[in-house]
Amino acid sequence: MSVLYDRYARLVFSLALKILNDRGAAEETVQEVFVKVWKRSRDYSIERGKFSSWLTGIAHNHAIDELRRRRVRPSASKEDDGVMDTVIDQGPGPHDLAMQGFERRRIVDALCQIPAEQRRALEMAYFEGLTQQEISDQLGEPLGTVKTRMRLGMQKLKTLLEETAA
Amino acid sequence: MTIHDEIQELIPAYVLDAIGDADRARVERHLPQCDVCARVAADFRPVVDLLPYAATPAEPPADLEYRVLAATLPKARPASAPSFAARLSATFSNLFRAPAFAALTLLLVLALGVWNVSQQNQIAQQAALNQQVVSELTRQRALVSMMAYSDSQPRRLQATEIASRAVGRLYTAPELNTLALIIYDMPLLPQGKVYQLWLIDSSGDRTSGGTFTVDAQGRAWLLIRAPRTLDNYQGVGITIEPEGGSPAPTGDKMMGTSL
Repeated sequence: MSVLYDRYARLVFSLALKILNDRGAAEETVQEVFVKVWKRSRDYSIERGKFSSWLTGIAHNHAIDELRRRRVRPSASKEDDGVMDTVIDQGPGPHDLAMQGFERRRIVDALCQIPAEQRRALEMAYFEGLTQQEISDQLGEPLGTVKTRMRLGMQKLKTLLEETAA
Repeated sequence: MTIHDEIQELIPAYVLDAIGDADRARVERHLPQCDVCARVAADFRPVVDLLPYAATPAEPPADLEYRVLAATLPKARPASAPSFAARLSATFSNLFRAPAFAALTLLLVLALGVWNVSQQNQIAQQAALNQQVVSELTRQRALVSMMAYSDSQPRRLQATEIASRAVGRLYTAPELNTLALIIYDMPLLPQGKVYQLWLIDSSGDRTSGGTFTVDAQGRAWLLIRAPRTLDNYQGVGITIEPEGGSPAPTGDKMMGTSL
């Protein structure tokens, strides 16, 4: 568990923080996700794809569920407690950082190359957990326009990422 | 428009979990029956798999790891013997009254003395280990800083047949005259051997960039500070050399790339 944590905690925490915008809630998500992964480790097999994809899928679902719960029952937003970490922590090794940095560069580069309105639709879907109808309502754009943006954005991203596959 | 066209239009939103319940149900009914549409859905999965990496990197607090590890530990069982404390107390009372108690106490004091000396040795060893960890962390942070500084795509090293499974990436920071090598799946080294990286200049001369070994998974990393500016070099190569390195390449070439 310690090895898994060292390798993936930063990625899971970053994703949860992006979705929830609350450090305390992101920490709880990390804790619950790793406990869930620990208990469900027998459910994972190589046929299900990369372990990191399985793990981030669980983390994404967990954070989006929490976000939707908060939308239904808004809670007071928690402030960052601002506590500085002074403990020397070994953290992820250079290999993990290099691989995560490489993947991040690929997706960020690709996202930067698609039109802004397509990127916005994808981000609202993935990081805000909104359906196409909810995105349409929030942006005041026709549903058909949102559907087209999302489809074109995903197709373009897929093509760009295939070009940079390792 | 065929049913396949309709489903394939829905798939990008389906893999993002952004479609309504009715459309999701249609897609989920169709995919198990249609290999073509299932393949289209599978082709979009790598896009969704990479989206988490678009989140701005953030460091979790240091104590979170302990909370996570504590949460995965099995819970302590409630005491099953209600009279345990009473029985323990009785055992000790009997022990203190025993004639051998004084001798046992003496032995215990001696043992504690030996244990104390042993603990002091362990503390000294731990301090040395801590120093190694801090030194390794300093080196790793230098590497990470250098990789963050590098704004270009890393170069992939080409492996020779001897290291056909190996994957290597080389990050360059010309302003710092520095390179960083990250390598995976290299063959394990024979006893007394190391890998050595060579900087190759335009006249073909080789300058050592450092030596390294690999861990049990064939992984290694190396920070290379070039003696001259990087535009003096046209490539790098990695060979197997005797422990301590060689002044010039003598062993088999494992990997290389142009700069």
